[in-house]
Amino acid sequence: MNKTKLLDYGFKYDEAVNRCVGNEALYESLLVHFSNNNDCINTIMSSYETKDYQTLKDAIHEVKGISGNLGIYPLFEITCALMDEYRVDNFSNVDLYNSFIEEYKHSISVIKEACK
Amino acid sequence: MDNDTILIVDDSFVNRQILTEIFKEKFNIMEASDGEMALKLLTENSSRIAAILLDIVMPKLNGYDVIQEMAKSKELREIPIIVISASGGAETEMKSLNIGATDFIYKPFNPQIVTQRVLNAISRKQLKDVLIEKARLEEKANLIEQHKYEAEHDKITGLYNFQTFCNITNEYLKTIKESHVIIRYEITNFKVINDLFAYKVGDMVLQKLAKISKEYFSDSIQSRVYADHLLVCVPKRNLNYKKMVECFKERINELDIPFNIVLLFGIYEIDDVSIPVELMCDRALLAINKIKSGYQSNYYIYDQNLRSMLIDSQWVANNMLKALENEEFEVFFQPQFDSTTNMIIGAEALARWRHPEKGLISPANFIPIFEQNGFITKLDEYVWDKAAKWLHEYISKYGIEKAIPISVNISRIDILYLDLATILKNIVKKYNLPIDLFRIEITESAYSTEYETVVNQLADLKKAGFVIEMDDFGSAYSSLNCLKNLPIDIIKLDMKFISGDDALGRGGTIVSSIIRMAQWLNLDVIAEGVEKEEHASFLNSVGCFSIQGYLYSYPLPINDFTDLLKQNGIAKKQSTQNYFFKDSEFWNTNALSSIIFNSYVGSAAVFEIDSENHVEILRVNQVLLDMLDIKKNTIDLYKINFLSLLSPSEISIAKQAINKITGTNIQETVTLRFNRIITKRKDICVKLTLKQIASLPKRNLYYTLIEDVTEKTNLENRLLVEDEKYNMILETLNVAALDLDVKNDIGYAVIFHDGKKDSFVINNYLKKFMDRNTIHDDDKGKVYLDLKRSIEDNISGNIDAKLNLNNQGFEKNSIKYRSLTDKDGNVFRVICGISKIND
Repeated sequence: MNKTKLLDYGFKYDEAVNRCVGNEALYESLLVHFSNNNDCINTIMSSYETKDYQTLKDAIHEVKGISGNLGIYPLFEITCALMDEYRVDNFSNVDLYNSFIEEYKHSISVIKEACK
Repeated sequence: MDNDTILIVDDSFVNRQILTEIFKEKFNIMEASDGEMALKLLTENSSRIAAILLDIVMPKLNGYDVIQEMAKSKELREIPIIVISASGGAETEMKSLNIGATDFIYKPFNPQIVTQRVLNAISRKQLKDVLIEKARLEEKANLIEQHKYEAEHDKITGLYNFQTFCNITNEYLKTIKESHVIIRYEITNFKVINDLFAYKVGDMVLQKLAKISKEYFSDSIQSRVYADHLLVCVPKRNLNYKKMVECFKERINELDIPFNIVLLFGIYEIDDVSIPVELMCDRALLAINKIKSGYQSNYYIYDQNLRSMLIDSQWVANNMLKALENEEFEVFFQPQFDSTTNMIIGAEALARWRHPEKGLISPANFIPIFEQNGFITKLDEYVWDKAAKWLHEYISKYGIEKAIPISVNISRIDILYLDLATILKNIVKKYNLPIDLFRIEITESAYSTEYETVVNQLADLKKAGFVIEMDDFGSAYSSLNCLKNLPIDIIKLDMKFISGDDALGRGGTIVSSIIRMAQWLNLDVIAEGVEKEEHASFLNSVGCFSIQGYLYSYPLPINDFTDLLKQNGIAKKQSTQNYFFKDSEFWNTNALSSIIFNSYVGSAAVFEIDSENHVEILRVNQVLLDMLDIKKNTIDLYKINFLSLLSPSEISIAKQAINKITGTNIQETVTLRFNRIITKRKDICVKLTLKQIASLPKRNLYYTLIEDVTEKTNLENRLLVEDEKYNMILETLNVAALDLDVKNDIGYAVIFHDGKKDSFVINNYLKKFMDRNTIHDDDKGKVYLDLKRSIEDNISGNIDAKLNLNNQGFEKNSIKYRSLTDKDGNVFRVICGISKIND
């Protein structure tokens, strides 16, 4: 995996590897697992469409935890901002939501790019 | 292995993987992707899981629900829960901690911090477990200690129980270098304390006793064996038994209860430490029993003689069954005599043991042992059968008219465990005996416990027709209750009352009172244990003629007794009592006769006269007490021998009257003057209306109504004096007097002539005066008129007339007449004084 690409995008690579007790292979395998698993993003988009906000909040919450632990910092930051809105049941900030979706997709693509 | 696993609960595969990576070196890992799965794993592996790492936001069951479910389960609630959540708010953290999470970590987490916090949580849990376990073990140890204490000690006194005492003393005696003693002590009549007061008081006495004992024997091992039996093992040095007894006696009676507590001490001086302590305690008990059997001291030191007693009792128990099978028990009869005729009137059947080698064994050596081990019921049934069989054979041979009643003994245990009425009825039926010839003797001590059973059993026996005798009357403390509550026909009175120690000299009075009481209750009395001539004489003098005892005869083997009976003949006991009041109802406080007696408007008394003419007052009513002006000390009245207050002539009058009514149903009135009596009044004259109410052997009872006639008698006496004076004056004046009783038309004339006095009684005097040649014809008219006026008109006056008083011719006399009137003014007497007119 191309560590530089990840660092360039803003991944906190070393911190995340440290979280995996220095196990770089595990870390990278988890990144791959994250990038291949569309369940979470699909849940977010469908619940956003159907205005199933509890499911939406839970899914965003999960993304927050995973992105934080995996050191995907740009995604983690926007997820936190979105979560802050949603925690107080404010679902009107469409731009922020769109930016989140965009950032999520971008993060996936960066991981995939780094794996080449 | 326990506590080797960490359960990671998170719906995110990524998060689970990271955490697994962190902990896999130190722990086994279990993973759950939702709350439901987590609970399932927890339940299945509760003992293995050291901690749970728990996400909050999860499908199916979230983290909060898991925490709450775990809190409900005893097995799961102690497992440390570390919540790891991406939620940034303090709210989530607070809620998690509130419902039972141990710690809270935010995602993204620092692996070192997660590790440390998890390890900390596990350590705290382990420490807590250790503390809990320690506390549990301590509690268990305390409990064991407490159980051990309770198992070894007596609850009431805190002293060792008997088993512990024996164990400890056994070990202790192996180590001693000086002489020791075992002292066993008990309270006589402890049961009475419990009965009289309450069990609490009984316990208090025991506690006090234990306290005294602990203080007195400081260097000792002590125990309460059971009930009021206490034990102590103590060095013999400096022990003064007499002082010990004195000290205990003084201190136990410091208790503020109205009961004299008597302690008995049995002492065993240990001469051989190798014998079991239990045996030493038994020997100390034998020493106590020695005191109870009549030894005059409060302590006794065990000696070898007592030991042989113990061996005997074991021998008795071992041989009793065989002895019954081999018919070694024999029935002896002790005859009962009528002391007035010296003839046999009955007999008591007694058991004797004739052992082929040991010979005749005294009942004192086996009866108490049989009573203790219950064998007595078998022996009793055996004796009943043998006695009945003998009576049957005797009647068959010599006829029913020659038969005497036989008494058989019923033991306390028989009353408790046998259906006596059925068994005894069957025996009587089997041998075709008249039921009144087969008598039942029960001991009074049976009544002191289980009295309901005793009452029921005796009621059944009585209903069946048996004559019931009360053995050993007066030996227990409930004698009078027995008399009141049990259908007793005969009292057997033991002579111990008048033999042995009788420092106060009351024995005789007690015996005679019991006999008299029995007579009133219509009960026969048989005196038993009569061994001395003076006992027999005494009994005779107080009206008890049925005697059983060595003085007349020892218990005899059947053949000897049969021979004696044939020679001696049989006296049918005659009832010597004759009550005019049916069933002694006079002594029933509710009987009509009593009510009449007590509320009778006049004075009344019941008294007794014995063969030596002693008069004793038995009952007086209140009116009599008032009449005698006795307010207090009425008891003194009962002690007076009233005959001693009479003059000899009045005694004779009284005796005549008593003799006249005795043995009859008539009544007699007699007036007596008592010259000295326990009242403020100096003397008193009473009119007694006497009637006999009962005739008893050597004494009779009388009822009397009493009228105070002192005033009337005094008046009569005064009149007598006046009469004498009047006569004397008449004599001096040498004249005549005429006293006319107007109401009865009787004249009393007294004429003196030459120093002689002639008296006349003249009926219908007015007519007679006129008819007779006493008044000269010239004067008859005026005398008649004057007397008539004095009678009818209450006129007193004077008249001269020629009278022929001495048949010596008419002489001139002066007649002075005076009328006496009653309170209504009617003339009832005219007194005339006649004197000669000298020319």
